[in-house]
Amino acid sequence: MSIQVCTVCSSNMNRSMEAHRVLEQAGYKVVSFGTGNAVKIPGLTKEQPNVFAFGTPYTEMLKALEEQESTISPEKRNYAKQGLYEMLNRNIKLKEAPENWQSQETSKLLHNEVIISCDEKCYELILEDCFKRGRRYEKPLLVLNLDVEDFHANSVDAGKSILRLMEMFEDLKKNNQGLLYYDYLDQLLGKWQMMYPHLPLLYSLIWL
Amino acid sequence: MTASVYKNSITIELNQAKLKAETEKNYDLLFKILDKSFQLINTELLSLEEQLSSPYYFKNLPDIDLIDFTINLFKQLVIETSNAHVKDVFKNNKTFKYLPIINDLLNSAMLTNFDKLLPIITTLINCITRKLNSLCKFLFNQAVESKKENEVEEFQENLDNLLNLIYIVVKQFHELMRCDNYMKLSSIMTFKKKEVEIALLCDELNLNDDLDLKKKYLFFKTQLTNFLFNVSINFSQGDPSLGNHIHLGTLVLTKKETSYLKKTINNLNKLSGTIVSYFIEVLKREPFLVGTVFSNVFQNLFQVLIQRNQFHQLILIGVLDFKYDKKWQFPSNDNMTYKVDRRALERTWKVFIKNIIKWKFVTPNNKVYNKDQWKYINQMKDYFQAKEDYFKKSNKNWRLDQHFVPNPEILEKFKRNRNINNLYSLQNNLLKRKNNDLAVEIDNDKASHQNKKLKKNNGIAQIYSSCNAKDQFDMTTLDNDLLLKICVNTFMNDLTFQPLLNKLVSVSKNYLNLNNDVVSKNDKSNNPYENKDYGEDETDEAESDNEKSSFVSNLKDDTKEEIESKFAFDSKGNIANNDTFTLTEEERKVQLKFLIDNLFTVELKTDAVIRDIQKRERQKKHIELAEGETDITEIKLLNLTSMVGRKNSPNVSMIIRLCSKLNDDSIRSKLQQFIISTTNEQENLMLTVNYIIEWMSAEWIVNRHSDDLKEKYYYWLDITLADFLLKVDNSNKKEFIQLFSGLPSLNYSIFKHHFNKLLLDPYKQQLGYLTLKYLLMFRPTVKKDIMQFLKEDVEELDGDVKQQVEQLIVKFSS
Repeated sequence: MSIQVCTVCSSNMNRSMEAHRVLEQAGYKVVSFGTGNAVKIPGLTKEQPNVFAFGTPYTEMLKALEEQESTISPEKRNYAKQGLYEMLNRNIKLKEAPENWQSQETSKLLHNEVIISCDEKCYELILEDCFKRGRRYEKPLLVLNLDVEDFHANSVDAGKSILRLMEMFEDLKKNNQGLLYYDYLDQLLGKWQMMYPHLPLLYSLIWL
Repeated sequence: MTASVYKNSITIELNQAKLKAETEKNYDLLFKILDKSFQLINTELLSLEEQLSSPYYFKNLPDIDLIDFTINLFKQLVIETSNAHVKDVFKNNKTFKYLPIINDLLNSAMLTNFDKLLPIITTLINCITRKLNSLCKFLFNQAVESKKENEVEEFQENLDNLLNLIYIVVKQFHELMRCDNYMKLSSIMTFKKKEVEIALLCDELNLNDDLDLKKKYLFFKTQLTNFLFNVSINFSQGDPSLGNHIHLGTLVLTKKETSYLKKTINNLNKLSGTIVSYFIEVLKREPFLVGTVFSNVFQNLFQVLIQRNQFHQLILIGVLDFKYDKKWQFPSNDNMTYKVDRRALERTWKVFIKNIIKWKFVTPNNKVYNKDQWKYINQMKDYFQAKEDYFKKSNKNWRLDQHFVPNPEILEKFKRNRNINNLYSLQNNLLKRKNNDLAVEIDNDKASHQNKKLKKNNGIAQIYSSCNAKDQFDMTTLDNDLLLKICVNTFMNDLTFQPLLNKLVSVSKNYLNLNNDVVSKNDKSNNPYENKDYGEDETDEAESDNEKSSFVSNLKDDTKEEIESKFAFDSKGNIANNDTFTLTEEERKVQLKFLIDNLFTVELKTDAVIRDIQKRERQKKHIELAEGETDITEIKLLNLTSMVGRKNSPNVSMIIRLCSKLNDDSIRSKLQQFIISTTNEQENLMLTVNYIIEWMSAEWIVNRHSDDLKEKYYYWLDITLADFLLKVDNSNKKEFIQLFSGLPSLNYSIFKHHFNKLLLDPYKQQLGYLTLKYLLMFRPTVKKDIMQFLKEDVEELDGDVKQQVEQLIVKFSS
């Protein structure tokens, strides 16, 4: 797999990490980021979500959640049912800590060929951030967005469709010499959208 | 074969030398290798045309491996290497030195081997875009520091080369997007010193080819766009307080400029603005959805907004006319592809609007927008927001092909539903309103004495309202040339011709019925001639309608077969017999002849109108000058009309191609007369030459495979040349040589018939002699025929020309 992919969601916790896992298993070189101000995951009550700074290791988060649940009665414990432990254990195997998109150096982002965002708000934030960065390197980045709801089950489904998208993209590159594959990109995305109509797609070729 | 092996061995040798120099980190040697390879490209780029100083700026391309090697080494050394050995000044000097060769290369790339060269020139454009800022800095420093005359000359030369590069890039973008269909390049964005041959990457007559080209090379097009926007940022003054100002700004602040520099700076500023408005026009006027290019233009416009205050108004007002939902689908794209593209473009547009407000490029108080425009912007923002929220909340039922039609009940949830509704109607009913306005306007002229109610319900309004304006494209935004092209294409296409004809017949039937007062009962409520109150007698009318319709239905059943066999339409006005409208090949030819005939008439009329305007304007100008008055608008108009007179008309080019395809001598005869009649004044001679070359090339392409048809080519060439010779004398060498070098094929009889007369006529003999000399030197395929003719006819000649011809025979016999 010659393509380096970057997956992005709001907290770099669920959707981007599931896509990260699926793509990495398929042999792609993957990095992942979050575009939010902080990492937010459910808390003991709806009104009190857990908020961590980007860069906090997943192991620390796991520990914090376990500590929280140890203080309440077993019947009230929900984190395992919500899939949070499973999610964090998966993340621990992939990388150390969630990373923030906005604080990355442009040159580092440019190692990626494709950016896959999992939320339209993230997509807009990525575009806005790229506007701010300006064009210093004159290098292209293909930004794709699939609108995935932030639930564990949805992210698992979305991961598979992202893998399919990347496989199709790789085929397109193989079959078209040089940079001519961009001419057929819209047709590829249309074809993919027919296969996954529940994941509305957006795309843009941006220059940094 | 030997030449290509030789070229390959040169590239291999250069590559070996490069590898050795890289190992030794010998940058001097690496730059020498780069110099050498550019020099080799330059030598090969020099062609016969260049030696002749012909007006064409086209050169043959050297070996692709050599170009590839050179551009990659250029990228490595000039763009990527950054160390103490290779300083910026040195790199900039080198780049300016290579620019003329780079220009030739880019220019020639469009004419030959474009697909093969594409990756290389993409890299090249990318390199120059990255280097542009530094190049401009270097250039303006050169201007500031130049004290001696030769330094000023060097600055001017560098600037000219850079400008040439910009013109080439503009031309390439213009051609690849086929922008000629809807706008012309501004004169500030075209070559002044050299004429660039028009590159044809597609068949202009064929709309599908046009569309294919619009869709192709998207990555390269974004590169060209980036380069041009970089130019507009670097060539315009920035705000020094922002810290992002460009060196041009510094120059203004620090240099006590000469008037020459002031003028140059003004021109560059103007060029920057022209580039920005050019792209805004592309956004507005390009009728097809080329999402990647549009998105890229928006990203670039945002960069200009960030860095250049002076273009805020231009951009912000301009983009309001961009209609993302009024762009056509490419015929070769499926519906889903179009929907995905449209959705992506809509989002880019939204992010653009959202960010200009967020970044405070526009506020209600800074007077960039007037009150109405500002209201529109806000409504647009709210509309996008509401649409997004709506789809998020109804996620389960969301389908891609679902249109967003704000339902008032749903919109109650949103605070600004009133604005959203307004915007929705504004966006989707624009065309409908236009049609209605038009209908009322026409009626106003025709029947101003009638009451208001009658005006709104007249026959023309009824026909307009029978066209469903919703979701239709606003055809009024299209250029006439493009419309003509689409019409001809539709006419020639089997799939579209029949429905078009049917629809036209159906509309004309409706129109006739209306005019004859034969309005069906169903349409009676709209009858403009019945000025009555609709609220009254509604029930009675409905009952009577029912009776009538059952009567009509019975009648229809009884006589259906009879009607179908006799008439094209059944009693309801539907087409009953398709055969009536089916044309045989012969009949289609007749229709096409009729069309071409009309096109000629239109073109001749336009010509006559232009000439008439020119004449009247000149007279007017003389009178006004005599009275000491000058009107700038009229002088502009005069320039414009004279420009139109000199250029090839795309309509004529199209007619020429149609004629050749039709293979009909009566049409050819008309065309021949038309072409010769274009030369009423000496300044139009080149126009006629171009038309003759275009026509003969088209004839040759169609007729070259059969000897009989070749004869036809020579027959028409002979007649045309006979007429053309009457219009030329010794002063028309340039045009005449161009004609004979452009004609696709020449034979002995052409020389015998025409050059014999030329050489004997004292006012034309030098013209004949020089043309023959040129052809002997540079068109070896006709050498044999010319020599045969000269040897046979030399004895008939006398005076100087006889001596000249004898010398020619001696020189070229060896």
